[in-house]
Amino acid sequence: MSLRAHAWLRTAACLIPLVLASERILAQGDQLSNVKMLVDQARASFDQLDYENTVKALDSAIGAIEARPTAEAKRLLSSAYEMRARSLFGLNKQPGARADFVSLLKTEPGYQLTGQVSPRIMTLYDEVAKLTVTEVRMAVVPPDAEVLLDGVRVPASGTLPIAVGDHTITASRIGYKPATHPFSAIAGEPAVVESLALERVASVFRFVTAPAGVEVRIDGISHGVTKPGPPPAEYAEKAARAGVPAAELSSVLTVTELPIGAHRIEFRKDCFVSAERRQTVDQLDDYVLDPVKLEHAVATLTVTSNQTGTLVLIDGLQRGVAPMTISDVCEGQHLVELKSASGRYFQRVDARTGQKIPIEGTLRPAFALVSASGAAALNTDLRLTIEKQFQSSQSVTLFAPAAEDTAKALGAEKLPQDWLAFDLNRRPLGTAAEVAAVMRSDLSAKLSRQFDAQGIASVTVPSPTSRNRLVVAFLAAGSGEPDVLDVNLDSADAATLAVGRLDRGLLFFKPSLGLTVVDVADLDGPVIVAVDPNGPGAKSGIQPGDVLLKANSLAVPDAGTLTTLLAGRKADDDLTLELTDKAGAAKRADVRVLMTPRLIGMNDQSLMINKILVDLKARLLSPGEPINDSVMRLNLAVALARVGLWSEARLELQRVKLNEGPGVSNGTVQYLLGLAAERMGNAAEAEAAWRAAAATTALISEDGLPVKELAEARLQALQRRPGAQ
Amino acid sequence: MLAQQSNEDLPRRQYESGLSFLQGQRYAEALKDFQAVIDSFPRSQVADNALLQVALYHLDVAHDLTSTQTAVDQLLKVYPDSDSAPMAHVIGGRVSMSKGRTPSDVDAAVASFERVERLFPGNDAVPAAGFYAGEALRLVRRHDEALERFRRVSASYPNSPWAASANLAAGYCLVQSDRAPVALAEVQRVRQMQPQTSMATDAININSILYRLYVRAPGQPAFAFSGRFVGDERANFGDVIGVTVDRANRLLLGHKAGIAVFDAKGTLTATVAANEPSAFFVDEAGRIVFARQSALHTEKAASIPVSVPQPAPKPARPVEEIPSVVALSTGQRIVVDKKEKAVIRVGATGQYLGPFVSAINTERLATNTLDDVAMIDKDSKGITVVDREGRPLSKILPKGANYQFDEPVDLVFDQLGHLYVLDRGKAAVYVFGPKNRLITTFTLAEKSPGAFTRARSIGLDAAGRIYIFDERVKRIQVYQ
Repeated sequence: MSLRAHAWLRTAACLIPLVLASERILAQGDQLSNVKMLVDQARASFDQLDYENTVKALDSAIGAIEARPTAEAKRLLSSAYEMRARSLFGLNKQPGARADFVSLLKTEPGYQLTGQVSPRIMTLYDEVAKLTVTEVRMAVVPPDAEVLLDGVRVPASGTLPIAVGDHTITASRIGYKPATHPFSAIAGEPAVVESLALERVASVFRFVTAPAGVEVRIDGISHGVTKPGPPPAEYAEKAARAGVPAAELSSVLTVTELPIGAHRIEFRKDCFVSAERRQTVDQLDDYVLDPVKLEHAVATLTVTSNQTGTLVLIDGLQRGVAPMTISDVCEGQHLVELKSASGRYFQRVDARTGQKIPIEGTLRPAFALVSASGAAALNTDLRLTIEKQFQSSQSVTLFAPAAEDTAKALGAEKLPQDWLAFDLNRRPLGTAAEVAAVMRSDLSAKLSRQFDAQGIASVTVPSPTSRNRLVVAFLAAGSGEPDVLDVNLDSADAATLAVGRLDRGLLFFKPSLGLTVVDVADLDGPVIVAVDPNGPGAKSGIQPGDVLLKANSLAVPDAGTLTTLLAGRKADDDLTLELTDKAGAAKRADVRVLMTPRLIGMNDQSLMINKILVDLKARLLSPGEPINDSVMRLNLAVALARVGLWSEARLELQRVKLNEGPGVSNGTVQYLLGLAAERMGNAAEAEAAWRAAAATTALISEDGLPVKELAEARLQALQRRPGAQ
Repeated sequence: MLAQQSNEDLPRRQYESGLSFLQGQRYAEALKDFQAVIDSFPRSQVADNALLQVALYHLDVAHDLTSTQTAVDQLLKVYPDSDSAPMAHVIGGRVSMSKGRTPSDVDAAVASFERVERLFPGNDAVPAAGFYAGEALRLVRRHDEALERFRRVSASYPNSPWAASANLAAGYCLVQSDRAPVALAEVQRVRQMQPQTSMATDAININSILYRLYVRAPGQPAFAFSGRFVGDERANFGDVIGVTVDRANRLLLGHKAGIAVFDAKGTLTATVAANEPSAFFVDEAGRIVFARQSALHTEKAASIPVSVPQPAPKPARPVEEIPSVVALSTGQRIVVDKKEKAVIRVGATGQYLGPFVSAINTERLATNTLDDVAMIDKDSKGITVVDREGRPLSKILPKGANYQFDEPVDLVFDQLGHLYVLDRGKAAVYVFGPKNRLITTFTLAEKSPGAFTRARSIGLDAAGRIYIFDERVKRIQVYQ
């Protein structure tokens, strides 16, 4: 075997597995990389003048490209044809070389051979080119039209090499009617395509904005939103002229088919000042506006709160903690909310660009209006009507969460809108009649939590014949017994009255002299009929039967006058009283005003007990004077008991520290502890508490019944129970 | 909406017209308006209110229980869910109360009242119902239960006018339960909660009584002579038959020439001429009715003969001597038949209703808010107290702890149920409380101002001031 044969064998040994591998690789479908590899291998063989292996590798590569002519693969095709043609020429296979040159020029008519080319090959190539390629001269109007020659984009004007044969030129441009021009190229005769002028059919607007994302409305109709840029380079100069940073520019938004006439163009984007341009279309043409820059439209909110740690939300998004300044509030209507554990404040603001809006939030316990039912007079959200009616309340905040949020919350609990519908008689209506108090209690706690409120509320139109009579039901979180308020939309005073009732405040202390006075006919002043033995009156020698004539030299004709006089006093104020005793003898007494605790009536139906509940809970979140807190806690306990929350009431009562004495005092606490213990089934604890209460001179409220009397009645009832000893 | 408004406009105006007539006590006109609303506009929003007003008229003005019940039944049937329905239940209960005081009557009334709170828990009628439930129990002397009801009303609805009424009634119950001192503060609360109202005046009146009897006494005399006289000494009132103060606070003095009427300041404002009347009283309509020669005479009205039917064929026997007559809340008149030593009962139109008390020699009757009737037994010199059916309730013996009657000549109840007995022989007034316990004795030394050594008759006003006609002074002397 000759050396040459050895070399061939060695090469073949190398190539055989290579070809096999190439087929396998091709079969695997990673065509492009395999084609590239084959072409690279062919080039290596070509450079070593190993034409046979070059041809073999390129046969596979060209076959693969022709089988699946992807754009990427086709880019390799011309050089593959060139290399195979020159290899075949080297192998003295001139017909094959000629055929490959023909294929090459049909694929790329303007192709120039690469590298050093032998004159013989060059002669063959030129000879083939003369027969295969000619020229085409093109001139398409408008010159910026998109021109495709056999589907390949080409310049709209100039001379191009072109393969001999049939071709098609298509031209199109926005605003023009597209056109197609078929022609034949003949060897040796340049083709001319100069008459292709597109017909103008529409005017075209082009917009660039800063920033992107601007809605473009022409004559009130939206034509899209600009997308992020950059735009073509020609806009850079215009942008610079308009003082718009190039980086902010959008891409071009093109709008077509605007008729002849004047047009109003609006540029809108949330939180930006809208801009407007006017453009007249005189003729069908292209109209390119200078870049439109929109200025930020923001107001500044300065938010303060009466509580520390108050969260600030704008349109439901948390923005920080008050006090704070928010300088990027977009122009328009916003809901500003301030929230804390004990209350809420909200304000709907209509922000204008550059405006400085102070928000001085006074947080108050809040009721979320979660449902509305009944036939309203107007097709409006009654919750918003009520929210507005109660806006002037100084004690609570009534707010209407978004309707979809309440619908979702009620839906999650499978509750219809009338689940909390009550009439003015506090009778449940519709579905509400099927909701037990204990269930309402659970739901009020859950929904209050869900809406970050201290309670919930509903609004109902109880009668279809009086559609402007609304009833608002209030439930504190955890309460199952609602308070109701009547709001008559026909009456201007109705809301004032309702708010007045809601805002009726509680006083936890009252000035006292430790005297019980009554009015009697035929006397010059009220008669003292009872004297607290440890009170200021007793210390000054006042006795039952004395008649009070003057206080600090002012006549006191009746008990009401004394009450009024005391109402303006504070603890330790001194008063000089002039009296007569039973026998008619004059006497004087210097007394010092004492502040005595007050307690709401356990059964007082005139109280808005749910409002009192949320109010007291809120107040007790900020500790104050121990005695004040104790009295508030005592009142809170009674409010809790009123809505059936005896367990919580008991816990509050256990924290109350009041002295023994007449009026509202420790005896009152003991009596109430007895009630709580009884409710919780602890008869022994109840009995012990009532026994303690029965030994006191306390009252159940400031002017209520003696606790002794009440406690003894309870103890007797305990004794009468079956099984009692 | 406009159509609805105009549909409502006429009935509403007619209803308001009825209310206006009602306020002016032009009842016939008021009823015409209300009936027109009921008949012509049964679907209007005021039809139920009109029906309620009709029911109230029949109950409080006409005292026609049957018509009241008819109106209530119609209201509850046609408008069971209306604003007026709760109060209709209350009126229904009041009708039951008025029918009688048997346990079943009381139970029916209380049940009707309790129904209001159950059916209409937040309605304004609930405190009214609570108050009347207490009243039903108070009228049958179940004072502790009544007190509990009254207190529940005042604790639950402290701002309601019904709470004030309940406080006043609680005062009565406390007095009857021997807890009068506790009542003072409870009654005073009315003046705090409802100042400038008639109830505030009621409260000061009640507390004035309580003050005199329970605070000033026993350490000091409950009463003192005010220095005030009513009537002119020269008028020479002779053969005085009685002194009384009516609900309008008029002081009336009956004497041989008629009935003299004085206003609250003691000024003579009118005289009802009568030739030797034997007794007089003020009826439900505020008219003065006097007895003379077997008949009851009312000014500007026909006389009503009083007679007792006899077994056939005898004609009815006229009651020849009527030394005393009182009216009960039912409209019945309790008449003393002196000749027969009996007390009989007649209707408002004079028809004989039957014997009331027999075999008693009495010339003086007094009645209280429960329609109990007290009478002086001239033979025993004691006091007999019977209920409104004439059944004996109690007796005050002529001699008891700290007192002995000598010549009891007149007696009167105050609004809290205390009985004041005027003893001419002792020149004293004895005041008896619940269970006929003597609470205080008021007398003045013979020579002291205001002494009443020849007392003839006693009257009491709402504030418990005593008015005594003394034959020596020939005028009414006032004690407070």
